[in-house]
Amino acid sequence: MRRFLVLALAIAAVSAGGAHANGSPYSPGLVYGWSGVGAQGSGVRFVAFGMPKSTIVAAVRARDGQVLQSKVVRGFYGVPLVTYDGTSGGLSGEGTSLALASYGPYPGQAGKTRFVLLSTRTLGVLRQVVLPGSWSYDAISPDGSMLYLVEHIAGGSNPRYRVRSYDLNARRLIPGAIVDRLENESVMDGQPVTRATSSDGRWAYTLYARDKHEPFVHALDTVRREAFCIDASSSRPNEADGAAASTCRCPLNAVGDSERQAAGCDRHPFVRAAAWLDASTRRRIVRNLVRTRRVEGVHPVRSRSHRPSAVKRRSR
Amino acid sequence: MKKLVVLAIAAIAASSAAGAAAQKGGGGPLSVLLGGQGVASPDGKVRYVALTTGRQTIVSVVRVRGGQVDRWRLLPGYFGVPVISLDGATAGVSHDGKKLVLATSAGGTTTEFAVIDTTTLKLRRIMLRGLWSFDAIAPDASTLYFVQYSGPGSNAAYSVRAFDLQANRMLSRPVVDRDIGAGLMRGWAVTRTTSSEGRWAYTLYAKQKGKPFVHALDTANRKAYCIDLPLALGQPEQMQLRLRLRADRMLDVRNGRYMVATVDTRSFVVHRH
Repeated sequence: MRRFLVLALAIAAVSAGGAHANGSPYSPGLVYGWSGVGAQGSGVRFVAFGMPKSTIVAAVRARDGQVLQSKVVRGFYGVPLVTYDGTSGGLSGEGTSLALASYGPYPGQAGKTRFVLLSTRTLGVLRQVVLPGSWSYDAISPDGSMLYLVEHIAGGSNPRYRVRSYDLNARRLIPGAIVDRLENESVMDGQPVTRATSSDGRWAYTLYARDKHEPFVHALDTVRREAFCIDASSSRPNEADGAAASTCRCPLNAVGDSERQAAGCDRHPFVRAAAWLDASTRRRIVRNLVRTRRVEGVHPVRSRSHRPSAVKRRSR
Repeated sequence: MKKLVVLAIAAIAASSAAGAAAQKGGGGPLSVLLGGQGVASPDGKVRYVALTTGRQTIVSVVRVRGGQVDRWRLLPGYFGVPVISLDGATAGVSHDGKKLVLATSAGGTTTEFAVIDTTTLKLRRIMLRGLWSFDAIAPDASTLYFVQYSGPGSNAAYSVRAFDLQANRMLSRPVVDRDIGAGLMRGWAVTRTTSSEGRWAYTLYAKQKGKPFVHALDTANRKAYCIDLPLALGQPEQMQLRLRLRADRMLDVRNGRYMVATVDTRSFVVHRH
């Protein structure tokens, strides 16, 4: 049942994009035209128009639809989609950098994937990143210095991948995957369903649906290069919740500040994640919040009882 | 006395310069607009914006509220939204909303226009020999109006020509004020206003030596009337004039905050203030 839901979700998301989004067999794909990606608070959205050998990137004012500026970038790029509900990404939290992505080869096949980082002020190219293999965009740090990419190892209905980080200042891929240290499993599986990003752009909370396991929330700290996986079913491990999470198309809500963050889905109350800094250790703690009525704020308990051992774990 | 007048558009003959100027909000006829405001649909819900690489053009349909790009299409060639007056006003959408006209930035031996179905974004090309610019479109898009220039340069004379879109042919006779008869005009198109039903295009022209006039083009019936304005203004002052069409069909001519004349668009009688 869940396999069907995951597949249906992926297919529906791709077809929902219509002329705007071109689906990928292994990732949410890219979007051309349509909503592009919007800068929080700035009222500007960035839209890509892919052409055979080049891409036009335009900054569109949301208030009146005027194109404030545009630029031609060599290569075929689009605004990256990060989840199958059509959430787009690419814009740094500070709003200064925009990452566009190309399509790569099918996982396991030869080829390269390209990314380009643009200045949102001039739309000029800041960096170009070319990686052998199959990659897709995942996130970017608020200051635009670190790019988080998904390295696709296997495609199909149950894709396997790992999250990697690319240092844009040093122009190098950082060895090793971004993993939940407590879990220490670098290879992940599942389909990204929906995402919420903290207001400062630091935290990316992504709800993943999986073929034979419970959904989980992947909380990525894009500043500290840390990730946490939280099982959505840790409180209610039943089939109905798993299926509901798989079809959850409602956006996660992210609230909080730099010290405290939470993300959740109002319609599916078991999909909750919260992160906060432990006052004594300054270590970021992530755990799930269950059965809260609404994500209206985070009320962290900054006691030692909330050590990493309290973090709800994703069972495998 | 009504007179079909003098003088061509300022020195915008160089196409690339004109294009660049248009992008910055300057330009005028003979230039096209890339990006920016594009041209809004009659219902004001979307705007059509052209973006180009030089060899290819993206025509995009952008929602005015929200800025989402609903649809877009790649066209071979260099096209932009026509700028029809020196104040940067753009045009090109028929009042029924079904057709959009894009233009090349004039300056070569030929001028090309793209007529686009706004529903399907299908393209139809019109290639004209010589120097032309877009002027207006009939409310039902049956007729396109182009300005044909006698040559490049700021002093070129021009005439308004009608193109039958259904018959796909240019009408042999220019669209002229029959009371005057002359086909050639001179002057700078400063500003334009269009009647609410899209039928009348009122364009105010400035003249280097003489008084400004309003060119009233009946786009539904292929007729034109020239209305001289009794205003003793130098060319720089004429360039500051603006038009506003009131609900009672009176056309106000304003100079900044001051109304300097009113034209009754039914009788073409001018009242000086």
